[in-house]
Amino acid sequence: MKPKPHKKTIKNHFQKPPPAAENPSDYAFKITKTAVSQICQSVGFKTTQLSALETLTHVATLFLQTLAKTAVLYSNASNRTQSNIFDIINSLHDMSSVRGFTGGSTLHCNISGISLLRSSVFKNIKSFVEFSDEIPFAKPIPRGESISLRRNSIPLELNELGSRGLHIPRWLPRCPDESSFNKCGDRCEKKRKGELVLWEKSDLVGGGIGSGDEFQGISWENERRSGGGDLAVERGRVRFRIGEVGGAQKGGVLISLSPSVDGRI
Amino acid sequence: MNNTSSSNSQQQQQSSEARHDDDAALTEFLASLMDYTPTIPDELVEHYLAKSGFQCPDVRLVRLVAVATQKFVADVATDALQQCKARPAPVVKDKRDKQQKEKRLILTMEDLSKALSEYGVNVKHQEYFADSPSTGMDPASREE
Repeated sequence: MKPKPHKKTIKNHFQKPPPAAENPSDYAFKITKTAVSQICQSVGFKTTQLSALETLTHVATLFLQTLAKTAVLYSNASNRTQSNIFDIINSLHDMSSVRGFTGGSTLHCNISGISLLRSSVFKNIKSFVEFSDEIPFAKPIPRGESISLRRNSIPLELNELGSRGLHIPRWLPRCPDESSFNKCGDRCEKKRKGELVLWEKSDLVGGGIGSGDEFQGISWENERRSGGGDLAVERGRVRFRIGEVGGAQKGGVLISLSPSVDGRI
Repeated sequence: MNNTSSSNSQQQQQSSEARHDDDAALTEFLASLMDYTPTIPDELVEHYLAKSGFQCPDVRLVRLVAVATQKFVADVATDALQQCKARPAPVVKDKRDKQQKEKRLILTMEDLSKALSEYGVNVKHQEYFADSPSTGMDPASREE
């Protein structure tokens, strides 16, 4: 019995994920940290304080996310779900408006979007790409399940994605199963073509989807009360008499309806 | 009238030419992004973009966002480096003076917060206790 706890500890040790990547966001943060430290090194820093590096990483992450969110806002404002380069440039202008940039005053003068491409923000990025040295990331990142890119979205298979059209955003759930609406339609049509069915027995009462077992009792009771319920069965004559009821009401004419199934009044 | 119409047509021609040039420059820039490998990997940028609700199948735009972020970080780091270099050096009467000068290039919270304040980011972050000068001065252990 004694070695059991020992075994357990070993098991736990192996089951525990390494502390380096506890969750996807932590993993992403660590990768960003590596990239930021690479950039710092390329700028000329020899060492960094841990707190400074983490702060810069955090700011870089926030910068990226704000850039993306602003671009999404711009694209949504022009009734699009997908963003394009002008949305990104617009959001870059918004982000750099704190410092100010050349060409910022004439940004909104031209509607055709020419002035967007002539601002110094875009030109600076162009020259950055042209003149700065490439520093590729230290290690290739596995593009697998380690980072769940769309945690909130419904997992879809590739076939399904292809079949449902590219214009439908990926975060939308899939259409309900065809059987849920196709079968129902068939059933309704069959009923319509066939003989008349009581309302109690129709799909409307039975829920339309299920077999309607839970409503069987009610419909059976109705059947009994109405004497079969089927219109085809012969019935007695029904008469209504309209007449006065003397005395009690003040000269009012009361219409009394007294159906009699027997045929006698 | 003729003069004004001709000048108008000239202006239109010029603007169309300018637009053509801009389009060509944009296309060229986007093409150059395909060959450029940013330090921030595409997978990471895609992760953050998806988190923010950004949808675009074009890799070049992902690269553009990566480049913009990289440029921002590089600019901040350069400013911090300038702050670091502009600070008066501590008087060190040591034989290994050159080595000390090299080791002085440390990204500290003080320089970083000064650099970030120029970009509209007010950082108020407590330094870690682990950020003692001894840990900062050791390049072998601290360099990442």
